[in-house]
Amino acid sequence: MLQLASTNRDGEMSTAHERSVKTAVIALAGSPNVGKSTVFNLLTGLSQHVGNWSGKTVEQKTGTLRRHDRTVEIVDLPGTYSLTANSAEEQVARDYIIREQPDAVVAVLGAASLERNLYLVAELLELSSPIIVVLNMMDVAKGEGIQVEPDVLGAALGVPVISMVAARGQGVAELLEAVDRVVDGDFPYSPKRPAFAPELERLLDVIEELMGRDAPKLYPSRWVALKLLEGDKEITRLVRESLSIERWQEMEALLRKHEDAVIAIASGRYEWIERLIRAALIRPRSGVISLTERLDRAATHRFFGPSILVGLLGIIFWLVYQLAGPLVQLLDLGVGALADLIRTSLVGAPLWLTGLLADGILGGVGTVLSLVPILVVFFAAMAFLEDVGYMARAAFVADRFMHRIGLHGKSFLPLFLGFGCNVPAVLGARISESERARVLTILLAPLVPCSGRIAVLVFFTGALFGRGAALAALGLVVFNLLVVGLSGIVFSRLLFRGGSPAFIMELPLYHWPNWRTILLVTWQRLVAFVVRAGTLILVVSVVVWIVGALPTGRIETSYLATAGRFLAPLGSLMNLDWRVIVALLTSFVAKENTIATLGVVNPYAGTTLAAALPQMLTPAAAVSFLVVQMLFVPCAATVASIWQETGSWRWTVFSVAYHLVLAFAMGIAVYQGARLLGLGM
Amino acid sequence: MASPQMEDYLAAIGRLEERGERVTTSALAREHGVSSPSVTEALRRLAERGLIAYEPRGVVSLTAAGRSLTSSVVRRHRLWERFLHDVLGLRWDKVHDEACRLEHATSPVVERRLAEVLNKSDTCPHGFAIPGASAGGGDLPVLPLSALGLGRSARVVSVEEDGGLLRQLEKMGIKPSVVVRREDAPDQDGKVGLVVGGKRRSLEGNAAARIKVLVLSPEETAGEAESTVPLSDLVADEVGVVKDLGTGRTFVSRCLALGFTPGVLVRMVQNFGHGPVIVLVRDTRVALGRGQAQKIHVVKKGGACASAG
Repeated sequence: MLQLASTNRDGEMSTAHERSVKTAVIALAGSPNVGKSTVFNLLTGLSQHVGNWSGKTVEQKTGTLRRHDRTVEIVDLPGTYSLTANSAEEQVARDYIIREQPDAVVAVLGAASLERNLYLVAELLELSSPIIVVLNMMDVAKGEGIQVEPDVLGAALGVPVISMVAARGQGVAELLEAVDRVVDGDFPYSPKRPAFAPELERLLDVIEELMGRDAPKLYPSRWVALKLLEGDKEITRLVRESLSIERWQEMEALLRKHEDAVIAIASGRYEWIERLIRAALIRPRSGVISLTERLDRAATHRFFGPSILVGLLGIIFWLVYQLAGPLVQLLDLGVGALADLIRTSLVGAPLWLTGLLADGILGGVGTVLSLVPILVVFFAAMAFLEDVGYMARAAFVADRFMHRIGLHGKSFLPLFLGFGCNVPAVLGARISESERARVLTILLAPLVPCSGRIAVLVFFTGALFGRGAALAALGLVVFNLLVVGLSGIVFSRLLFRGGSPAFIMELPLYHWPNWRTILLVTWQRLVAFVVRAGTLILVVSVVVWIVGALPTGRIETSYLATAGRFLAPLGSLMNLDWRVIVALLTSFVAKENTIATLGVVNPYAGTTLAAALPQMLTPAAAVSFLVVQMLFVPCAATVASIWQETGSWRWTVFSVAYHLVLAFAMGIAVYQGARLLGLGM
Repeated sequence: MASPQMEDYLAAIGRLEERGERVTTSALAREHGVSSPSVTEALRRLAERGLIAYEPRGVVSLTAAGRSLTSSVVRRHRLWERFLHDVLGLRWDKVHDEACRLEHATSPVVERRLAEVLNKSDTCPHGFAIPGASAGGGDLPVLPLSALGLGRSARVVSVEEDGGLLRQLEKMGIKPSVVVRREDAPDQDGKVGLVVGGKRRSLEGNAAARIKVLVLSPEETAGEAESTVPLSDLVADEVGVVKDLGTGRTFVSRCLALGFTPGVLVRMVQNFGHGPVIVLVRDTRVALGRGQAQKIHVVKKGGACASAG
């Protein structure tokens, strides 16, 4: 669905000249954690389209802005530290600038770590689009005792430099003015590009000459030469394809001889940056302990760090129960009332129609709605922690144990999101830099007990175990997390050999949250979820209702029941009858459907499901059923997300099969184990 | 006039003597890549001409006439190697075989002109002296690299002409006049640990034995090669200068983008001895896994108060 929403930029090859005078295209570039999305939100407000870059699992955000008589289209490029195609983000960012040639590229920099941030500017200056530099988070820099002089930097760079505090809306007018002047050609744009040591410059000339006219089209040839020396895989492939075999061999020998040039290039850029910094930046006298340093003493401490992380996660769960819990019940009541209303108002209509409307469609809507409050709390909490800069610390703290399961700290966050819903957890796996870590995170995410499964768990343990309910529920959640850990160890050893991924990430400075950004991020993620998962849940809900109603209109004699009876021999190994198996099958729509289905097929007429359960299941069977339920194939929306995010049927089928085998194997093992020990019969 | 074959034998004898090895039939057979009987036959003919003399225990030595002819052959050979390498740009593992063919067909005029073109060269590309090229102020106290003490620095003088060895060394940046330092740590699995141009390398023991080096005095060492430690060895608030980023293109590239370049100052912010570390580099806090922090090598800086920016 999201693929449709994204604009296919490869298709329209218009250049700056062909565009109408009335529109301009501006790209926002910048490293992560510099407040780029705040700047983007400030410029575009709610006129945003969120989608995917074509063929990539990288989010694409575009928006528009009305300015005098002109429409400015703003494209938010993914956050990157450099423009070497090490990751999909970096490739997307630079391909966009090179192929689409936006009228201007606004480079958003964090003023507090200007030196490192200027590296991206050094790279951007090698490309042909004009640059406008935004020094964002000037307040944070000031807090760190760092003074930046934008005018000096502007003069030294030869490009407009605007200082901003996007979180407080400062500097927008100046930025827009600069955009106008650059787009109209009013600004005497004479950028100064980093020069390298003479021998490196000569080497670049040699490479450019060797490529000659066969250099890949569109790309500036000096830039291509630089990227070849930097070992950029994508550019290397392009050049290999465009040169004759002999010349490529010559090129390859030359590149091999100068393998170390990648370091010389980076050093050259930083030398150039150091010169700029010396002119435009005053550092605090040493010995000043910054706010970030003080906070980090606790947040990344070897004992306090994990405690703080666990504490924060606890608060999020508490908020989910306090805020989302009552709302979910209210929504349930509302949906139930609506279903009753449909039934009573459609008294004359055929039974299948009321059933389809009240159970199939409204049931699906209800499921989606009941997820919304939970996810709002999760998304908002995560957006808050991300905005203030804590998320990187959470990853740092989590790295110690994530490392053991072959992942690094960053994958902890999407897995945590899995407690809310597995769909955003699978999508969140994008945060990983390597393909290996991404797929591994996607495979593990559905094993995290989502709110739907926890709801089933709480209901069943409550009905079956009386006082021991809380303990039983907790035990099963812990069991699931152990399975996550063990699966991680097994997968990383067997499927993804080749060492754990490199853990190297920036810890941004802490700063005050920007509520606007948090709200907007929460809203966007929620909309994306409803669009992606909601429609699918609705469709699957209707389909399952149909197979549960055909051919007789009664679930006990439906196709669904037939399937349940077919699987009954498997269930009998756990002392589960076909009704329970059917309930399990309907959890493919959404996990909480298990309860609803059992309620419908409840053989003890006249009793509530909670009262009937102890008669339907022996304690041992109940535990093995819950084990199966917790590990069973993820819901349809999650499976669809796995397919979309991995882009591979193989991984999707593998994931489903793994869950199936694991769930039944564990369930049978638990029941048979209990039987052998003579427990809970 | 000696035949090309005889010249080749003389050159081989010359090389063995130069390396201080005993010139025996079997050593010659190995050096020249032929069978022992053919060596015996060739030696007999060289002795007939009065170019070599037999000594006890199967050792042969050059006579005065033989020595003068040998140094002429070796001179032509090494001049050609220099020319092929410096002027024609052949790789250093290819020049030996080419020079073996050219040396026999070199007239005195060409030899003189070669020497003029290569005016300053007094060694071949592998570091061996070209006879008659320089005054040669006595023998230098060279020793095999494998015998260099731990933590000592030395300048490479010469490298044996073996194609495989030369190709391996080229990749490591080991060639004559380069300064290498033996690592402080003891060697592992028979490999010699070295620091070459700020990078850690390891070399098979028998390969190291084929490299001759000249030990440097402490004054000469100063500033040449400082002792590097893994970044993970720094304790909190210690400052280091980055020397080497280790291997792996993607990792190096990510390091560079985050500001780790050779020569940059880094300050350790947090290090518990296990698990990831936090460092400050170019005003940015960067978290690194322990494995990554072990790959990056730094030179410790005294005076921890220095700003890491």
